[in-house]
Amino acid sequence: MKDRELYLNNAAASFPLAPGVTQAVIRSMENPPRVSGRDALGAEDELGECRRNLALLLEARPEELALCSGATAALNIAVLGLGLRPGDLVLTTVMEHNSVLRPLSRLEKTLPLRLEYIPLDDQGNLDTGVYEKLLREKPRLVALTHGSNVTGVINPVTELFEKARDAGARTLLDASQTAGHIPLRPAALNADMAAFSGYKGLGGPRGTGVLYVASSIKLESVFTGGTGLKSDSPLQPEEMPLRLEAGTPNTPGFAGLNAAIACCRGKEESIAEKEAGITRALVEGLLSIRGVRILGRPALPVVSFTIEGQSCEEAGFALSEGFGISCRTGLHCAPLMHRALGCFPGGSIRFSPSFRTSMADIDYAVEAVRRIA
Amino acid sequence: MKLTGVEKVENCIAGDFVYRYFFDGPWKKKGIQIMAGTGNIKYYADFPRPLYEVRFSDGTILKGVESEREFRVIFKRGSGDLEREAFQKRCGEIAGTI
Repeated sequence: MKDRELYLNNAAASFPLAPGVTQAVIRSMENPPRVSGRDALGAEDELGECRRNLALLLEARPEELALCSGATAALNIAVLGLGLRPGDLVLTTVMEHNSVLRPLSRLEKTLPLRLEYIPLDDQGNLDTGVYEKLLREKPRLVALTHGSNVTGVINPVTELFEKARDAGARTLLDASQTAGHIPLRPAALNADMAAFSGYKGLGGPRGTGVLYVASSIKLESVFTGGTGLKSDSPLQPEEMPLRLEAGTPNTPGFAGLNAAIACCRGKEESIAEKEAGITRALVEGLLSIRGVRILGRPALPVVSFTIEGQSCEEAGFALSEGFGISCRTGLHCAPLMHRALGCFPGGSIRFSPSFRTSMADIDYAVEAVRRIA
Repeated sequence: MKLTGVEKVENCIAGDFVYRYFFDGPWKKKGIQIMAGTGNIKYYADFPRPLYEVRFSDGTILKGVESEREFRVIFKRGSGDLEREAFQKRCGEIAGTI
């Protein structure tokens, strides 16, 4: 066991990357930059190819996809570009990551808008009673996470968003924890917008993310600047994706993401199945240890827990330094969720394996927790 | 041995005071015992990497891996600059004797 290294922080950024990603990034960087690639239909360059393959993966149209630096950028573009007005009601949830909470909180303060949070019910799921009651007040936007980055629970987005649309709201999905883990089809989920990073479940390079914007939605440009196309216009071009993409893009990153998508396409169901088995084994193993409390009921490979009598900082140190396990400790940028689960401000320890994690790795991780508990 | 640097560990836990202390030499068992003084020392020699932990009476916790050139100190919540400076001074003095 000595000097073993085990990476269980895939909910933050995946490691190892999907096969072929690193080589694609290097290949892109070794070649001179080519055309701008913001022509959605352009298939001849790396950005265009990545966008087309993303569109196939998501069952969307290439021009519905803006390439961003990550989910945080994508969510900011969505929230700030929607044209929310003073007094608008926005519904979100206590499950959200700060990349949703902070842009909304900023608008709550500056516009100001009215921001309401859907709490958890006693089973740890979103309280649909409160949600439906708030929908009667006609929110402009409902923003929620597909899968919690703390408990790994998957929200019933299709139904929740259908109700939101019936109430006249736009719908924004944070799919950071589900993209690459389970099939993601924003239109089928009733999402008007969906944001995710390329470097978590998809196994692409850091610095890549995607914002899906349904053709029926017109977002204001948050960033304006060079596009390499239509340079005679003083304003940001109207059409997608140029409308939401200003500045020189991260072409090597998206060349890498394109390679990651090639690994994922057609294998989503089998990845989900394998990860469900890994998650089950991890949960069962941890639950067999006295003093361990698992937060929620993970459906995704995101398992957060606490150990009775130990701060998560202490446990995290022992796991990382004593056992070579890379994991996340603290609030995981989801402070409201930890409050709702009764572990604020101490936080929790999070193991987030991937389908590349072996059962032997899971056994090692469980045994490490057993020995420090 | 010399104390070469101190760095605050940034994490997402509000109000935590965790610092890394860096030295120009490794902390062996004898040095750890001197550093611990009257604190309660515990070894986890059966871990893949041999961890040690010292709990001082004021609530400060020191943790490290034997033979590494650094350790981590967790000050109790609400501790002030004066306490941390005093601890750092003591660390430097003890390291100088090893």
